[in-house]
Amino acid sequence: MPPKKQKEIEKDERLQAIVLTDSFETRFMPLTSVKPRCLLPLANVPLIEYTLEFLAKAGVDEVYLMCCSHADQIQDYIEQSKWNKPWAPFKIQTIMTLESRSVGDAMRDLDNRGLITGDFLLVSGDVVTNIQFDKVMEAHKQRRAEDKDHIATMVLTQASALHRTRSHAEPAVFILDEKNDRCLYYQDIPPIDGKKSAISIDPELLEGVDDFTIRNDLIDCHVDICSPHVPAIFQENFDYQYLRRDFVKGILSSDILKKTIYAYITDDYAARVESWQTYDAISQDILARWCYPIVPDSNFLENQSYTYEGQHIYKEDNVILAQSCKIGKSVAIGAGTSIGDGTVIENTVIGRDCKIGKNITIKNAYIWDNAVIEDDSTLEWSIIANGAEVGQGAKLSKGSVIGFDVKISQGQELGKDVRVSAKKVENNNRSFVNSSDEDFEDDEDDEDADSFDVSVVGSQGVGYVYESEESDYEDDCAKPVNSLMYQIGSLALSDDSIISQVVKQKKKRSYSTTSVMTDYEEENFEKEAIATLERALDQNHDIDTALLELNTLRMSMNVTYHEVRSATLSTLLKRIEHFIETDTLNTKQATEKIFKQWGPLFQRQVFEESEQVDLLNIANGLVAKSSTLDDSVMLYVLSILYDQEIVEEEQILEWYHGNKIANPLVKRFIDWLEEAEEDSDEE
Amino acid sequence: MEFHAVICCGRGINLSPFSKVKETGITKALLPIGNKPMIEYVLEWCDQAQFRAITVVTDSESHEGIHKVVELYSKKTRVNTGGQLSKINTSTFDGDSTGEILDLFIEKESSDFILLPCDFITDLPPQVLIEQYRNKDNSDIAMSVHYLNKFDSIDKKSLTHYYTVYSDDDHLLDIYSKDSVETNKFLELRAQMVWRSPTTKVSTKLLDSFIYFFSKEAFQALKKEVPDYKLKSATKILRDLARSSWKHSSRQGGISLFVLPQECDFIRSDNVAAYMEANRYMMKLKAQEQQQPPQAKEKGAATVGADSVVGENTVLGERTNVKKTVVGDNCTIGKRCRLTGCVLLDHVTLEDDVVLENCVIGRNATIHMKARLTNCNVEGSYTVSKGTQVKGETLTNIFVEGVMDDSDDSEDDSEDYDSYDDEYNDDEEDDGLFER
Repeated sequence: MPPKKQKEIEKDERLQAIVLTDSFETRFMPLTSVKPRCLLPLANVPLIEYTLEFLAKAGVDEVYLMCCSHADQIQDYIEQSKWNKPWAPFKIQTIMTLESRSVGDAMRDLDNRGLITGDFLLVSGDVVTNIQFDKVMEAHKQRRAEDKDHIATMVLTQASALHRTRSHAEPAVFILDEKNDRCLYYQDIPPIDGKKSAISIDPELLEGVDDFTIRNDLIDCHVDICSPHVPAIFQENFDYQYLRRDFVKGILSSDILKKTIYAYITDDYAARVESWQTYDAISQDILARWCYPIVPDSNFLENQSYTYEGQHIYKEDNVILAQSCKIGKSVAIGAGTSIGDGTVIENTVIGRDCKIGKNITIKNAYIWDNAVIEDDSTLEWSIIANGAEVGQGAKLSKGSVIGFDVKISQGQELGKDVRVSAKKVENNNRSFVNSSDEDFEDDEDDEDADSFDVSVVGSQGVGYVYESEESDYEDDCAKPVNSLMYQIGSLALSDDSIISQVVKQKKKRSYSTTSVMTDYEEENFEKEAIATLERALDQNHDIDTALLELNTLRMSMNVTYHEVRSATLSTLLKRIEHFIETDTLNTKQATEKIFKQWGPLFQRQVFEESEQVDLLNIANGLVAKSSTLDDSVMLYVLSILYDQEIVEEEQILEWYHGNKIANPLVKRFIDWLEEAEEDSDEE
Repeated sequence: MEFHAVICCGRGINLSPFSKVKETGITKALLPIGNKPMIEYVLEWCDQAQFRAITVVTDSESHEGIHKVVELYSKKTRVNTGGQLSKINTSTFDGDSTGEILDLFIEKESSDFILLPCDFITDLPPQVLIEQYRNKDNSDIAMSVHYLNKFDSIDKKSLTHYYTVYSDDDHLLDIYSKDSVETNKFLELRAQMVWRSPTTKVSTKLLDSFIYFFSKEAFQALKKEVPDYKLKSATKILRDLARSSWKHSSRQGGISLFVLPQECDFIRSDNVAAYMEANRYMMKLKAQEQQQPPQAKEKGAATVGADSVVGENTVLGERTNVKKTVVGDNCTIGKRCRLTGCVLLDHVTLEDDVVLENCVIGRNATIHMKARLTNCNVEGSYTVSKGTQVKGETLTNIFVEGVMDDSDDSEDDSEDYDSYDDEYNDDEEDDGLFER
């Protein structure tokens, strides 16, 4: 290992690194129900090795692994590994933080333990990178000297928006000051083909900034240098869960904390294995030597013996290849594996002691140790976990994941993105907190009760289909996002949808005084606004509270006051209807009760004269639609609103004459108004 | 030269009280800079490029005056060019938005089209912009020219500021005015745009030059994408075109963005501070050009610095000192006056011992003895009483005693740049209840 460590000690205090071995996600389910993410093999090396290798190169002195799910497995692994040997470049310690449910919890736990002595390196246990850390540290220190409020530097890699190693699952933009890469804001954005949304930046955050850049082309590999304040801030803000979405955004938009976060943008290789898509992309990058010196022939594990054979082919000793098999470009094959006649392999990683039969086509597949692939099968963009068996003539389509010890019987064809596990996986968050033993026990009980998903694994097969949790609520984007197969997200935005959005905005603008709103956003607003108001009515909130809630809603959904008025009126009128229908009160009493109390709501919803007319229009329209409410309601509403000075005489008359209202009761009111006016004129 | 240049003469709301917004004012395009109507600078600039056609668009009220100046200019400067230059047309127009000006040409025009303001001065030859425009990407349909303010003395507040959103390959993507962002409480950028242009830059310093190049294709796109273009200002039209370039599933006609190089000077006299600065800039140039030796002068005569100019039929009193100042025609200036960094329009009368510093004095204004004004704007025909001492005020006729009305400057939205109130704006008038 590099001798840098000694130097560091001489001139500086210890450099600590915190590794978050848990991602608190379920993207690698069902495999992560058996093994933690950081121990899953990538190019035949457990993921954590890449992170530790990076830390060793970075000259870290102490490494703390924050372990949560399958913590015991990680601990065992580390104890056995070279990192625990006396000559290891750093001191390594696993920290059991079994109760943590999020990065935030882990950070709070870290703070409680009081391990942090100075600026530390925070990485997740799934980083593959060859960045030159000393430069990052230098930049961090330099900025620290200039800006004492600087508490974190995020290492970000330059790529393109749809780069294969960039997370498609959690796209986000960084808003950076052009001058010094200070991060001004961070925001998640929907994926490229997701729904439309806006990046809203508070102009206060931009004060004093002349030019800034909005970057949607950075790979966020979650390598951060943090000051000891960071865990403390997590402690103070106990609701922070995510490192970026909560912490970074929270810090940046807080006017109390006044802390700054900078970005360090590098061209080196850095990526996180955080979805099937990045698993595939990073594996291929390693095979293609993009992240040199991270290549299979670096033999990170002590007993590995990979040699590079050109054309991005890597082999360990003791590989048995049949005469007529064809090994194409970008293939790595582990020791003890045998490959039969006529088999064609391309862009694939095969672990140790696998038995690959004859006449098999394997493309872009990741076959882990001890797997058995029988003759004449076809594998494309698939993962075959340890000990799994694929029967003769089986066909795995793109995105299949065959879990540990699953058996697919002969002749089975698996559809796209089918994931199979040998044990049934409970689809709740428990799964990554429970230790694996418990899981096994649970499942053993189940096994007798449920039979395997025979339609998928076949009659002799072993395995259950795993239903992705994500598909429940992210159904439209989950698939392309978290599929092994890397798909170039095309800007498949249909013109229609965009145009309709534009038209919608236009409408808001030009017809804000008429009621022509039909659009899902507004419907949502209406629904929520009505719910808010009903709550206010039920619980008898005061007007200000109700108004505050309504206005917050209005701002967050970006609708006009017209919608607010419309929702308010329809709630109030519905309430009147309710009173009348249940015979609690008669029309007059009901209207008076409701409007006398809640009418003042409109004082903050109606500002201009045209809006008064609009209010009356909405009311009239709603009354006309209702079967319970008769003409008299309009009269009462009018007179109450008039008394409360929400609508003025002139506007009532304008509304009445402008819309040719044929309501005899209202006419009486109008007549009275006009007379009164004449009287006053005469006076 | 394939271009048709159209010069738009706005009303100059931000130049109040000197523009035609006030009765005593002068048509904006005719306000003198260095004793020359500002539009002449624009015409001179155009003539460097030999455009195919030049049209000056004015409202009917000021048409006559502008037409006269244009005719005079043509006679004066274009005699010896042998008819190479095309005739300058003037046309009238009484709409509210520059979109309507475009509408005048949209059907007729078959060539590229340049929209120019009537108020800019620059030492940058038009060829630079034209070359830039010719070198644009094939798919681009228009070019918008922006600049950075180099003059420190122009108050930042008096410049209309925008969030100019552009891609890293210099294409305009969107524009938001600071005001609309302020009222919306958020700068809202579409996520979609960020997918289209992963590295998006936003500048708060770039200023709109109001110099726009449109191609034929731009007009077609305009009709298709911005159906209500007639109601909009040119900047807004350009913004809408820019938005439509990334809105669709395939990239469409982009708007290239050109930022004037730092080496060149560019100034738009679209507010009083900038107007004053433009005058000073011209004076500075004049001083550099003619390094005349100090003339032997009579004892006690008025001194006029090389960086100043005094108009015809103007009388300067004894021991009056004029520095960095433009004095218009037919002014009468008393004894022992000191003028520094000022602009005096025509027919101004100063009595003895008046001291003016950084002031703009409107036509026919009279300033009585011993008045001392610093950083003031005095409306035309205004009378400053004896011994007045004020600083930083705008003296207008509405108020009899020099009551300040400083807010004039911040009154924005001339026809050229009505703020880009965003779609949601109309209803966002905050009622103050929710200021947190």
